[in-house]
Amino acid sequence: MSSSGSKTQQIRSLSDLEVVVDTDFHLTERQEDFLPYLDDPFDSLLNRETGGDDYGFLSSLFPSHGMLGPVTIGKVDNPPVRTKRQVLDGKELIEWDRAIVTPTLNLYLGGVHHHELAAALASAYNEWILDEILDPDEGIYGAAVVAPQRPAEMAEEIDDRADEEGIVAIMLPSSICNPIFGDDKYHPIYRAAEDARLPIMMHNAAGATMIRFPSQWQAMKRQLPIHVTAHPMMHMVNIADMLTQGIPERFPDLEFVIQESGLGWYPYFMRRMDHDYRAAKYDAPLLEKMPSEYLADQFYLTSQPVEGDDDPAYLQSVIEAFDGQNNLMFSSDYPHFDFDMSEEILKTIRGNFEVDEVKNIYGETAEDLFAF
Amino acid sequence: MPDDEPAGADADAGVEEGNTDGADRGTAAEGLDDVDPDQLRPVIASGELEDGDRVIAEIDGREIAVFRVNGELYALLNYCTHQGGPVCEGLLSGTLGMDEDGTFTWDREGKVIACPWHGWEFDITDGYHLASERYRIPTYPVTERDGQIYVVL
Ligand code: FES
Repeated sequence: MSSSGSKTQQIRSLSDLEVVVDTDFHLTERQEDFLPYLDDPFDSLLNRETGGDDYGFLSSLFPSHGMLGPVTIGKVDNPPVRTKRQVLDGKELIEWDRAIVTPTLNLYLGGVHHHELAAALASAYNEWILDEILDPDEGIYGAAVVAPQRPAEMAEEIDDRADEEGIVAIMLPSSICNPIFGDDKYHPIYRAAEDARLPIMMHNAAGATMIRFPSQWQAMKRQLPIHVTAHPMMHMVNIADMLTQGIPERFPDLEFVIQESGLGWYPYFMRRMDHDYRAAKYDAPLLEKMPSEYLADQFYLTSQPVEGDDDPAYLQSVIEAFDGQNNLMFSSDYPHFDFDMSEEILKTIRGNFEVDEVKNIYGETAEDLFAF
Repeated sequence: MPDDEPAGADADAGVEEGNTDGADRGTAAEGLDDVDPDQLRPVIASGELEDGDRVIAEIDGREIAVFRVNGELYALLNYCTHQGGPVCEGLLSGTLGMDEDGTFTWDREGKVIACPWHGWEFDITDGYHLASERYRIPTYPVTERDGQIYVVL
């Protein structure tokens, strides 16, 4: 085993690497790129010169979120990636040797209402990339898209595409699906991909992910996935919106205590908020500080249920990553089924934090906040 | 006019001024009369840069953009502090703000450059990122004399 010091010396820049593989390099396909590859009956139905007034609806068969994103308002100038030449331009910029091209519009495929058409669109997209985009000699590989609406047909699609040169994965657009992906319904897709030895890539479409949340919740048939995801996910949804709407700026003396969601998501969420906000200040005009600064100043986290309590290095780094020494407060959640005993954090962290910091977590921060 | 001062010292002073005080930062010719001519780098003839336009020039190995907005000139490095994108080639427009009633407003029209790579917005008058003073595009004093636009390096 080499030490980490010699590791960094060996690799100073990309050119010291033997290979760089970009595992998510998007095409920016439009309907008009792959609609010509539709098979009948949809080819005859949709690829006609004349007839019908689509009222504008069919210009996007995919659900549109209608939000003001940096690309749609022109603040970001994404180069189009709709031809092999344009893929190669991107290759030059990102400097990969191989890439797996993934779709953009077809990430919304799960929201296409006409299920048979959705399956046909997946197939047309795959035909299009095979015909016009993929080129293993240039390092351009692709993921064959499947429509979650029609698993049996998509299993055949996987069988058909698996041996095509350049197809190295299956893309299962993972938002808007209903039911969610644990359902028996999807077994044909999983079986076909497994047989073909192709990994399944899952990629959400941010603008449409929330469309089916209530029905997705109903589709969760067990308590485990609900409990694991519900607490941190709901907090992220609420706090992201509160920050965007400037709640802590409008109520600068108000403090919030975030409960029952574990720890690791919180420093992640802080940084993800900052990351996106730096490119979308216009979307949250009331904010005067970085989102993470509001969280540090006006938000506290209670500790239970502490994940990773058998991993002191993990807990230490997570707590430090959101200044838990000043923002984290012990909680037991007694008598709920996942309550923590009082020693649960202490026994893991006591060697890694100052006495004052441990005192803060166990009571001093709460003494200040609640003004007993 | 302190023509006898070493060019290097004056150049440092000019850049320093630009980096610490946007209001005085050579937004027009004023205050730059005493610049050592050796520091002046010609960019473009005055008549070729109309109001609302920009030009990007390679000057001493740096890509520098000069904007003319509402009669004022602004010069910034065409290198984004985020991941090195060509920030000065992006959309020059305004940005959304909000007034006290919670109504959206359109602010700083013509003064906000959005980097075309990820959309970070910077105020071209002082180079600062709109959301955080942690991020800033270097700015340069710029002046116009005898029908020619110069940046001061
Ligand atoms: S490189 Fe300019 S915004 Fe990212």
